[in-house]
Amino acid sequence: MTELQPQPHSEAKANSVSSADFHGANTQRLSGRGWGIALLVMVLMWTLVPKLYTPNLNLEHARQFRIPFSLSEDYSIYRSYAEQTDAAAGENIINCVMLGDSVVWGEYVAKTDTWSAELTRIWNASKSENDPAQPSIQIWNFGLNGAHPTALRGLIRHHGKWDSRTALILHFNPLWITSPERDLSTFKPAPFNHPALAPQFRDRPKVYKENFGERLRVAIGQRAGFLLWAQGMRIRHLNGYDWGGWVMENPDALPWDPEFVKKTDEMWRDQGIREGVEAVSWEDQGIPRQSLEWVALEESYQWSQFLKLLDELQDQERRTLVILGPLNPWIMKEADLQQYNKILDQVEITLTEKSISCWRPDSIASELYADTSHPLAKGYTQLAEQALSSETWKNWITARIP
Amino acid sequence: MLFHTWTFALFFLVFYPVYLSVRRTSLGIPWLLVSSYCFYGWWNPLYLLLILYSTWIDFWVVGRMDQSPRRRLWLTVSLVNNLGILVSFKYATFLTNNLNLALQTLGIPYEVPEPDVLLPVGISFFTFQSMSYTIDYYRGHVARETSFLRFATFVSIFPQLVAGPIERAKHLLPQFNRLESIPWSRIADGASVFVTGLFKKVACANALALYVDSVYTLPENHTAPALILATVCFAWQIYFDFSGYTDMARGLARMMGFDLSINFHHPYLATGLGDFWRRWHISLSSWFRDYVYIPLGGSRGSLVQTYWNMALTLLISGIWHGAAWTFVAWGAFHAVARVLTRGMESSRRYRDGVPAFVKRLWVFVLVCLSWIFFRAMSWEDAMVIYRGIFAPVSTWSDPEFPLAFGALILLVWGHQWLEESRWKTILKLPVVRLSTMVALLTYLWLFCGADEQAFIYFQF
Repeated sequence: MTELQPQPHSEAKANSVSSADFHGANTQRLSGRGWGIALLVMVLMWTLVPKLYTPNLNLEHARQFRIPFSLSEDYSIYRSYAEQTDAAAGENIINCVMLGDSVVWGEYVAKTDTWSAELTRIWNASKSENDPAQPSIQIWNFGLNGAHPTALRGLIRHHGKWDSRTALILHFNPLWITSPERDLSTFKPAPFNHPALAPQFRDRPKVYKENFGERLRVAIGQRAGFLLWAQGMRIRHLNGYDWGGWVMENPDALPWDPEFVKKTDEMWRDQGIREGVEAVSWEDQGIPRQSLEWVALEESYQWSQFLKLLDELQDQERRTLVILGPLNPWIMKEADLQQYNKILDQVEITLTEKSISCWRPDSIASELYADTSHPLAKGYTQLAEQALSSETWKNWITARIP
Repeated sequence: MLFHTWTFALFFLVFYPVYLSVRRTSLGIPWLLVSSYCFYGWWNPLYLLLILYSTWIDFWVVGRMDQSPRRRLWLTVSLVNNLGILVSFKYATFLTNNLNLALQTLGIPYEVPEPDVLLPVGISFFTFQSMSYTIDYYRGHVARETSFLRFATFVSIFPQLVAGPIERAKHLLPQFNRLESIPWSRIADGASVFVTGLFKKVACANALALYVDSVYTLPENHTAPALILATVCFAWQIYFDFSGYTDMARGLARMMGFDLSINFHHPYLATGLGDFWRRWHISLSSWFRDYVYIPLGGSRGSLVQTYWNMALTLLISGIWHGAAWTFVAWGAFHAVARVLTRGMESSRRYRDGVPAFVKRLWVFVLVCLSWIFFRAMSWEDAMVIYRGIFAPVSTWSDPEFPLAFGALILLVWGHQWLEESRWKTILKLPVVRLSTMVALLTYLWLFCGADEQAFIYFQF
């Protein structure tokens, strides 16, 4: 312990801390002017670097793009994607974006076989054949894995920076109201997809029990573009870690090693597609029908969030079409099927009352469902063909034509 | 509320503009006190009852001392109260467990129920700060504070409330009496120190913690290289963590118009253990010097008495840090090491004949060896680590030590060396200072994600 000796360092004296003594170990003192310059440099970097270093998604060349599965939580990519779709659409093309969860993303199919890809392909082929004067459409796949209606609302609010002429196709997947857990309406804390896209304060899900500090961090992170961009960089280049975490994972490496550059490149390829599912009907697979714990629409949190999203889009005068379902009816017991149809009837009535276009496709063949809600590639083709013959769909699309 | 969180940023954003506008009015101190209580109560509002009680007792005791000839009695009341609070909240479980172990060893079939108490954050710091006021008043070193509001603010001012620096009344209390306007230079100074502290904590301490935790969680799974590197990393982790906190505290206080004491001064450049304690946690070292070592007799008695006083003070310092035998062992390690090296350190041959580099390395090795007790999860783990380090190595397996951490440590060591060398003027060049600050801010922006790891010293 310290003894009664003259102390060799003036800093060690407790009393009278002069300005010269004030700075302890390893501190860099800046004057007011120095701070002014430092902050100016930082603001310039925060503004310019994210603009200069934004991934070019090459949408002009690859019109069937979707956010890679491994980048599902990099919302900065989503923001860039939204900004780049308007520019990539081109002249005389009806620009639409299709939003939803992995049903829109295409959990079991290649990006050229997704719902949006099939809709674009079939519509454009048909109009070339029947009415070449009509403009083409380009439907961009904005599906995001695990994006339940609440997350979808956050996604569009914070990162959906489309041109006002861009129309929105929203997929409402009834799967999210097939149990209180999926509906996020249980009081028991539980992890759920994309908490960063959920409301953090007012109106947040009951299951979301994160502390105030964490929610504040998320709320700021979603709104401050330069923080979102840095977070995206960490997801893409540091595997989602901060620097310390990354070097722990890769103790001898540097992020610019060719191996890691290759890893980053791999992230951009389609990852997370479930392969090897064959088109076999559910009856032939011998899977028994299940009971579902439907949440009544009046009590559903997800539905209330979806309605709020629609209100917000109406306030923006954004042209919107809602697609309802279809869930796989071949896995439901009779009572559940009735309940499902009743709920969709109710949804349809509500949307019609709100003057929101909605289209309710028929269920597809049993063997074209990979699970409760995801179609296989042929299923998407059937759904797209149904759309082509639907008056609602045609009216909605052609209303874009001047 | 941790300094490196958005919650604190929001708190400060609300607090600071109001503070600047009311600081020189009669609302200045009340606003500071209310804000400090909000800051502290954010952890648990119940803590406020304890800090209010502790503050009020010491304020009242000094009032009684002022009017009563039995000053020693009132001092005893304050000491018993403060130490009683510490023992009740911090050591009760430790004492009970050891008592039960003793009863079990003696074959007595009785078990004292374990107390279910919550350890309030920063209890060791605010009780020591409050206690120093009564002792200093008793000694006549400080005038009586007549305003309870000012005294309560002295005890609870938020930048240093939970982990120091432990301020003395004669240094901090007078600063509440003259609340002058705050020039821009102070705000710039404070912001500089705050950012440095933020970087130390978020970029350095939290990163090193990843390696330390990975090794210290299961030390038996690691061989000497990993154990040595993890111990070196912990030495720097705790330095970055605690000095980072102190920098942030001092920076904030500076921006608020107050000066807090320096707590660290390049401790790993110390050339002797005595020198180390003059550079490490200075406010606590000097507290123990003034309130334990000197009252015990300091170095005024025989050599044996001096060594005894020194060893006892270091042992108490170990216990102050935590209620576990590992902390007692940490204190004992320093006590023994200090006793054994004091004579050597004061010899002319050591002072003038041994190169500074060798002395620094020697002290660093000793300090690192002591940190093993400090960081180990248990006595058994500490023994495993010592055995692992000193046992003949059969396999020098890859410690999977990130080279970047080694580079970081060398960089900071080099920076500290530069600060104490004749080349230090390089660091004062405006362009160097500016580019360093921009580099720190850029690093924080790009490479540091959400990490709300608490400070190590909060547990004390």
